[in-house]
Amino acid sequence: MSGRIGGGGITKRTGTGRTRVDRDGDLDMDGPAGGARGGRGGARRGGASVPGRHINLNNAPKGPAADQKRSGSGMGAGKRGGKARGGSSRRNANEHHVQLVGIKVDGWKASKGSAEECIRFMERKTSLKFRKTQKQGEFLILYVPPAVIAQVLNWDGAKFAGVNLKITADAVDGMLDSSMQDATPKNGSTANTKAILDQVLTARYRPEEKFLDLSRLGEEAILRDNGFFSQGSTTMKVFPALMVCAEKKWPTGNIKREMIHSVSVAQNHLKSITPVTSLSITFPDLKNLSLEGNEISDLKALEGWRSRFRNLEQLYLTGNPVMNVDNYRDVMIRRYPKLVLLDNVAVDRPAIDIGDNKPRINIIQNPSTAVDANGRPIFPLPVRGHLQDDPNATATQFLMQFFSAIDSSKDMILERFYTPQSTFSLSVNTSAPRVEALQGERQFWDAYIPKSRNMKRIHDVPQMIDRLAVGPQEIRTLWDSLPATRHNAQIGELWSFDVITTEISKGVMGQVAMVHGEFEELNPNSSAIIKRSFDRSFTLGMSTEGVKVLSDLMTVRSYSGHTAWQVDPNAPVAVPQMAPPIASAPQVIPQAAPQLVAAPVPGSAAPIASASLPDIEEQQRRCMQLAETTGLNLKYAEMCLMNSNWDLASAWLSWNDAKQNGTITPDMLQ
Amino acid sequence: MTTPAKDAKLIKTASDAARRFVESYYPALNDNRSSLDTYYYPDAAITWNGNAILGGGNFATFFATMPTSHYDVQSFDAHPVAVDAMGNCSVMLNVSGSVKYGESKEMRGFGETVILRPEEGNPTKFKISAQGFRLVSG
Repeated sequence: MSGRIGGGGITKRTGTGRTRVDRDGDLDMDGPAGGARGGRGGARRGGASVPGRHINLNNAPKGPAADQKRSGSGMGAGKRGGKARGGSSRRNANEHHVQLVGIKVDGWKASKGSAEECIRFMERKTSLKFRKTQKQGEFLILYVPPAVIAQVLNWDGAKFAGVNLKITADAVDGMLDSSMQDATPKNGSTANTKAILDQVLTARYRPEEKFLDLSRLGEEAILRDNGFFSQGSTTMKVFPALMVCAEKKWPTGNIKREMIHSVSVAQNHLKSITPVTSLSITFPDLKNLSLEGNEISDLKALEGWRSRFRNLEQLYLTGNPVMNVDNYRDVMIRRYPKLVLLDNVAVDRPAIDIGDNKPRINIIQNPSTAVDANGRPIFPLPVRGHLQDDPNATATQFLMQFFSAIDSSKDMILERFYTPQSTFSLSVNTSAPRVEALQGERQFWDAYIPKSRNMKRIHDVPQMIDRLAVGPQEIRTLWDSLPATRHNAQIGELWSFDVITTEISKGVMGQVAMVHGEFEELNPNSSAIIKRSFDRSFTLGMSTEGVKVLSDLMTVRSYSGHTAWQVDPNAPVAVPQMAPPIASAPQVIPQAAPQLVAAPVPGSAAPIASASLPDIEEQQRRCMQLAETTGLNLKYAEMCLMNSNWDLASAWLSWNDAKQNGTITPDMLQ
Repeated sequence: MTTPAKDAKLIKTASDAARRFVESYYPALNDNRSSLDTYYYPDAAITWNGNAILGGGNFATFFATMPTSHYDVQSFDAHPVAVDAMGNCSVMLNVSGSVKYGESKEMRGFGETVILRPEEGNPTKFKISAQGFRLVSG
């Protein structure tokens, strides 16, 4: 895909949308389906299908789309028709074609990221794909359907590459103004419409309850008496216009928060929230919201408010078919973190706390700005080799046995190390940084995604249960469903192993073994071999039968090489600069960095510091010696030594154990 | 009988704890480093790119001198581990993501493993018992 941003112009994303500039110079994305939609609206306007006493908000044309229709020249249709020929083959028939609204992103220019990165960032944050974007001077404009405006605005202030983005929708004002025109009956004036809608707001606002009741708008006498419903063309547009009036009536965020805690849009025949989505822009801080008695039947119809109303405490959807959807409650409770009452039933939310609230110590923040010769930031601690906080080398031996047998002897591994309580799951990180050669190259994850338990994407408990394998049988089934692999256990530098000993649960010591490495994926249908990188972590416990896996989590991602953990003894280290002491203010001086470097973990046999590693010559000598005593070939001797912190004795012990356990295979020998 | 690990309540506890952790800890690495100490037990075992660090205080002190950073979690997964007789559990968390340091535009991959252990007598309050971090690309 080519870049979306070029020379300040507008670039289309691949896919479905058609772009053009409408008569106001606003961007408009619409396709033939949009034209058809207008057509349907027009027909309704003619009176054929005007609903009787209620407003049917569901078919309300959104925003400036209506302008084109009102212009009545047929220009829109003609243009669309012309464009449609080019794009129809790519168009998804199910796709909604709606007017897009521009959202302004400011501040990115001062960041370290590019416009492209900023767009990707916003896409990641919002889980949206922006088909159309534009660079306008200092601003980026993202064009989105009205239903998701709120979802994007929600990231106002988000930190992108060192700056806080300012995300605003000036365009929304334009949309709202035009909605006022839309709401105006034929022969009426917008000023008159405003006055009438103000009356509606006044009549339906109950100040003592801080409650704005916008239910049953179709039965509102003020609207009916003023001809809003006899003129079919305007009945569906009242809501956005009401919001414009509400913006004027309660002009600031503070006033809104103070005056209006609750809104009801009950009994409005809503099939989705799209017609009333602007409610979340006008009243983002609502505490109570009722959608009772509408016709919302699926969660998708509520999607536009997914990340809005962050302070919502009570939500009512009683009487909507959506209440029968599986996981309905779970999803809604997850969407609104402060929800205490859903459909009048108390929300049972486990009160998980992470950490304490108050800092225990005062540490002066003093980020290093040092860079190396290539302009790369350097760290106050260097990259070091394997950390083996593994007193009896049990975890290290487990890792060696595991990875030398995982491709060929899965049953042996499961039998020896896994119990009926052992857990395994896989997650896929499809966007992980990768080696340069793979950048821009499409990666295929089809074989993994159906098994992936990545919680960025998986939310439902039943799905999480389903994708967690427990016990050797389920784990074997899951392993077998993944592509066959070849792990290259012989080459030490491909691997990073860290082991730490810790209190897994109160009073129960265990070990955490963390592995980063790579495997070759063997594709039965082609000779092509795909390299992947993976991260795999085990929690290990000791039983009378030796070390056992409590849990095993693997992340698969694009190949990222093995340079990140290579130890460069000459690599520069940032020396923290102490801030000049302030004469009178007492302060806590941070501990000097050198103390941290070798701070031992309790139970650690010997903390690893680079100073304690033998030099290359000495390493070679020990390799030869181990190879001589054991008959291992040099590669394995080296790996064995690396895993034993170059301690000959413990390397020999691991070899001995491995031999007794029968995990020494002929290819390890000379 | 369901195995403890398949217990919906435990799965939910583990995933809620993991989610809460991911949503607060990584933003703290970026923007609120002075709060980092509060995420750890005083004797937490930490390895950072192969360096052994003992406890949240030492970690926070070290991290105060790290170049400014922007961590972005791209995937995470968590299991309940060490389920006790009371039905409480610790949580093992695997995180994969990207990070930018200082003024550099280079996006580097990282992998991190965390053991969250509940506080004694408070099964829904978790702190870091062990943590291992590695840069995995670049």
